[in-house]
This record gives sequence, C-alpha cells and structure tokens, in this order.
Amino acid sequence: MGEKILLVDDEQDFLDVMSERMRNRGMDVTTAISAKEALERVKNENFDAIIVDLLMPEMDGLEALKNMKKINSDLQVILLTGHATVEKGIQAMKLGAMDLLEKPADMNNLTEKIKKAKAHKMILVERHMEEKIKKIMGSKGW
Amino acid sequence: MNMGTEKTKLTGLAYFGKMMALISHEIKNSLAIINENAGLMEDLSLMAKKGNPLDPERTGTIAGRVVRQVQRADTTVKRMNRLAHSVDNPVTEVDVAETLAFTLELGEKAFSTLGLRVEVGPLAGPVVINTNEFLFMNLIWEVLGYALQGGGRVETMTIAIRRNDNGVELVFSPLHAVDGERTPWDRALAEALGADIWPFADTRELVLKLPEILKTV
Repeated sequence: MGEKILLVDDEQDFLDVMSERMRNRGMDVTTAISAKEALERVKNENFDAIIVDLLMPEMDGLEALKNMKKINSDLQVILLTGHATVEKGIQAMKLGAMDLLEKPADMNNLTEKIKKAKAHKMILVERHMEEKIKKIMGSKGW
Repeated sequence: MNMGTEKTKLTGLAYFGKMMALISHEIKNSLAIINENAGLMEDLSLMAKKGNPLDPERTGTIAGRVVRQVQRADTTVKRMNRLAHSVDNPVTEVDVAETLAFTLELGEKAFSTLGLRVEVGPLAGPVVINTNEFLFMNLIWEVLGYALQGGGRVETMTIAIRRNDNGVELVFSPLHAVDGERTPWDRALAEALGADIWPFADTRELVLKLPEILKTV
C-alpha cells in the first residue's frame, strides 16, 4: 500500500503539481492550502508523513508543526522552505520535525524521506501497541 | 536633509535586506513550481515510453502553470528593479499613494504571514511630494512595524492619505498599545525626511506628517 501523505502549502499550483507527481509514485495524497486546514485534517485522519511549507500566511510551518505535535506527537513532519538556514533547521528539529528540505526539493530525495517517515511511524505504532499489551497483561491476574 | 547618518544607513540597509529576502523567497517559490512541472513532464515522458500515451490536456495544464509562474517571477523581478532604482536620486517627485501601494506590495508576504492585511484608504486625487523615495519607503515600513506591534492582533490596518498645509499626512489605524508619546525609535530616519510622527491613544491612530518639499542641506 502507498504512503498516506498530507501536503500543506499556500500555493495552489505547487499543491497541484506535487500531488500529481506523488500520486504517479503510488502515494495517497491529501492537500491543504493552509495550516488551519491541515490541523483539521490531522485531527480526523492518519498520515504516514506530513509535508509542510515553512512560510505560510496566518500560521507558519513551525507554528503548524508545534500544533500538530500537540494533537499527535507521533506525526512525522517534513518541512519545506525556500531558504533553509541552520537556525531554522535547529528550530524545526527542536520542535520535533523529521527533516527540513530546501525548495526546489529533489523528488527522489523527498520520496526517500517519506519512506523513512512511514517506517519510523510504524515502529512508533508498534511500540505503543506493545506498551498497551504489557499494561493490559500487567493489570490482569492471569 | 541629512541622509548620511550612521543610523539611517543601518536602518536603510536592514530594510533593503529584508525586502531582498522577501523577493528572493518569492522567486524561489516560482522556481520550485517550474521545477516540479519540469519534473512532471519527465515523469510523463517516462510513462509514455512505457506505453502510456501523453494526454494533451495534462501537458496543456503544465504549460499553463509554467507560464503563470514565469509571469509572476517577472513581476517580482520588476519590483526588485524598482526598489533598486529608488536610491538613484536624493530628492525626487513621489506620488504618495503609488509609492505607499508599492511599499505594501513589497512587504505583503511579511504581513500575511502574521495574518495581517494593510489597506490604503480612498483618495480624491494624486498627492505628490518631493522627497527621498527610498527613505520614504523605509519610514513607512518602520512606522508599520511600530503600528502593527502591541497587544491584540489587528486583522486589517488602514492607511489614509490626507493633504495638509505643509504637505501630506499618512494616518495609520487602528493601533494597539499606544502610549501617546512621540516615538524615539526612528528619529534619525524621520529627521532625514523632515517628518513628524505622532501616535494618538484616544483615536488609536498614528499620524506620519511629511513636508511637500524636502529641504536639502
């Protein structure tokens, strides 16, 4: 099954072309034109990776990342930026971003990161399941 | 007018740098979209080689997106060129509304990132003053920075242009956190333009007054 992706950018042309390229690679892509819309999506759906533009109106990528992590700390967020600086990179990592890529991003590189994000997310889900099972086993007198 | 003070040079350089950062970001966005469309064409060619026929509708859409982005980047480069030439003459005829609109266009991305909109109020006719265009734009930017700061978030700020006996007034409203004192932060820049800046707590307005003719020393 293809990776389930949420792509967030305030540029409709960018969303259109990126989502088409990602779908050509077998990914299941949902798009959001604003951080607000993305947060609504994140509340209701599960994604293997979320790709977010850093500079957006009203709520920028870092603020969006912070809010997404509040909703679900396991979310794998990749930030895209016109100008990647060391400062922004550190800030993004501190907030729990998986990666920060500079636009224009290389599609093969991005695909690689998405696959890594999915794998990492699966590990986290399995770990949570294990913890849950342990908890249940511990609480029963079997 | 004394444009040569260290303070005005530094403030001007910071403004120029900030505008260049916004412009380069805009150009990068256009390039990113053009790049992805080229990538999509590559994808479609590879698919065609494997026997999937090229859909003319899709290639037409791609061409349309590229044309749109080239036009957008061209507009951005024209703005950059105009900004660069705003330093050409120490004093020149400046259409206040037109230069204000241009200053807002340049900084639009910075405002929208903060969730703010800045509008220019209606004007009966053109108001022209003789001033330094670059410093005038720089001062508008500085005043906006002051006017937009403060407690609550203003969704839309309006700038009205009014004639007065000595020149022109730009009225920024509504304002937050006005202390009613003259602001000391950009005196050098205001002095260089012979400008006066007054924040009014009661009406929540900030008034920027500029002379009709800037006197050179």
